[in-house]
Amino acid sequence: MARLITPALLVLLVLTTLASLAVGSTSVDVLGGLYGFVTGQTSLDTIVIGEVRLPRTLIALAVGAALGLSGAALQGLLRNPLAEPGLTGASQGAALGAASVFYFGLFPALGAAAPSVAGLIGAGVALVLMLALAGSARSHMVIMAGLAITTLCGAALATVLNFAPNPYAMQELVFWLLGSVSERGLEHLWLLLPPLLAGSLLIISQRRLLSGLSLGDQVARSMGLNYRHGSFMIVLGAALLVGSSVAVAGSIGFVGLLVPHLLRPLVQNRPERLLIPAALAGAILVCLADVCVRMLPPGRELKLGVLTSLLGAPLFIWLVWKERKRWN
Amino acid sequence: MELIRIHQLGVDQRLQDVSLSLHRGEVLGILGANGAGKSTMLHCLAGIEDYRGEIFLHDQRLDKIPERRRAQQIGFLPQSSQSAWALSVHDVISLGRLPWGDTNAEAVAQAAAATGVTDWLERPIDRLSGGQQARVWLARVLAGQPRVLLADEPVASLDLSQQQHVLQMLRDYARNDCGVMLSIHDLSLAARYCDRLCLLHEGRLLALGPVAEVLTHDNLQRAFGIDAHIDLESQPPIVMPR
Repeated sequence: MARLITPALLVLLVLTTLASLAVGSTSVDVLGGLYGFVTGQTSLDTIVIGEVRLPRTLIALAVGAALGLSGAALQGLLRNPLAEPGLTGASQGAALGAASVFYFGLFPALGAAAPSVAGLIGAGVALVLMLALAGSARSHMVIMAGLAITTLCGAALATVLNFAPNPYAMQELVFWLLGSVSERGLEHLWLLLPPLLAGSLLIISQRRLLSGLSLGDQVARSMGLNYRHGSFMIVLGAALLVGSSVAVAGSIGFVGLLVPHLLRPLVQNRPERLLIPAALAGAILVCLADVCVRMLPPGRELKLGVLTSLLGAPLFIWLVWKERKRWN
Repeated sequence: MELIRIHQLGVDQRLQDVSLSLHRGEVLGILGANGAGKSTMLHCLAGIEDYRGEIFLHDQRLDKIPERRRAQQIGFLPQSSQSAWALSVHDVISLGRLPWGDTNAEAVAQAAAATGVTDWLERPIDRLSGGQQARVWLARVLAGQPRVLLADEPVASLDLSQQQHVLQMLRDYARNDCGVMLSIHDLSLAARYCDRLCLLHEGRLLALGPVAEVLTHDNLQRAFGIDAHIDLESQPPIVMPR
């Protein structure tokens, strides 16, 4: 079962990707459009696929993978099934960075990519502050420092909202924060990919540490694993992943928390085996949620982050209920 | 032949100027009241605590040996263990192979057989009793096949029969050209299963040597503040506070 989980998720990922390319307001030939885009043709199908649906799909997959992977890594590092990517403070930092664009009109030359660039900077600053405050990567210090920086960024964000220059700017900001992958181009993907790759590599390089940490940091260190260095790498990797995904797509709730939780029993509860399946399942979940958003009746768009929260919260309640029954 | 040599080991105020060695084939018991420095000393050897002084493993300074190679040679069983996730017993024991980077099925099976946990290999660790879990934690260390096994109060949570079983197993392990250093509170068990003893008092070495030289009225009075009944001639030896 555990061996089949990654191939099964890969098949699902391909199917989800094709579905995401096929679903939209106009009906197009997906494979023909893709071929046309790759070979540089200009037809309606090519434009719809290449400039609208492909970036949207790839960003949804990348954001979902980032959230799933960072959630699995942080839960493994902190040995806590309730750890979630927002814990590092990078998420609120990214939101504050993006909000500053709406408020101060930063980086006008970057156009639509400006909130994402500012979000990345915000996530980076929050991350540096958090790591400096935590001093070490001990789990309780990371949680406390992450909470402190999240609170600080939240307060600054509230201030920005409070003094928003006009109601439209505020509305734009709030909608952006709700999370979405619509109206994103390939330039957003290029922005997202480097931190995403770096963060993933950092986390995957620490698989042995995550495995050893199952039995606590003392045991892990006695088995020759460099806890201090390794846990720093994991926190850094997770913050890069979540910071860049929030910067590009806003806040998409519950994926980082729920996906690892749901998959854990399927990989025999092994934290190091959870990483890749969590990334794949996160990608599938966010992409599917985005397909659902597109299939809803036209009108005001339901934001992707709202939908994942609406779906995630009852699922989370069910998990709590299941856990409770286990302990009774 | 020395496996480990400790020279003037110190950690803050918790451990001061402790010098001793562990020989091949030997079980060395570390005794002392709570806070005497037993766990601190084992932590230094296990590479999880910084220290002053020098520790030599096979005549090589411990702090100069790469962490992974040290972990291949020295296995550590902490005072209390817990798995954050409901891992299977087999997976927990396999974690002992992490320093080697392999999944040596033979070593895992041997460790499971030695500790008598073979029947539960597929069960989740959190579904076992405390005593059963203690045997699995020990199996995890044995799976790493270390030359030196450090055990911090390995029998604290076990029933009488399990205590004997585990200590006999550690003794057998040591006899196989390895060495075992364990901290223990039960002085009678220490007298029965350890070859030599090391008595710590307020972070300093109070006595070191054969059982009869260490377990004396004066030493126990100083280290524990107790008047002890000591009968090392009986089988098994008896050392109890009056």
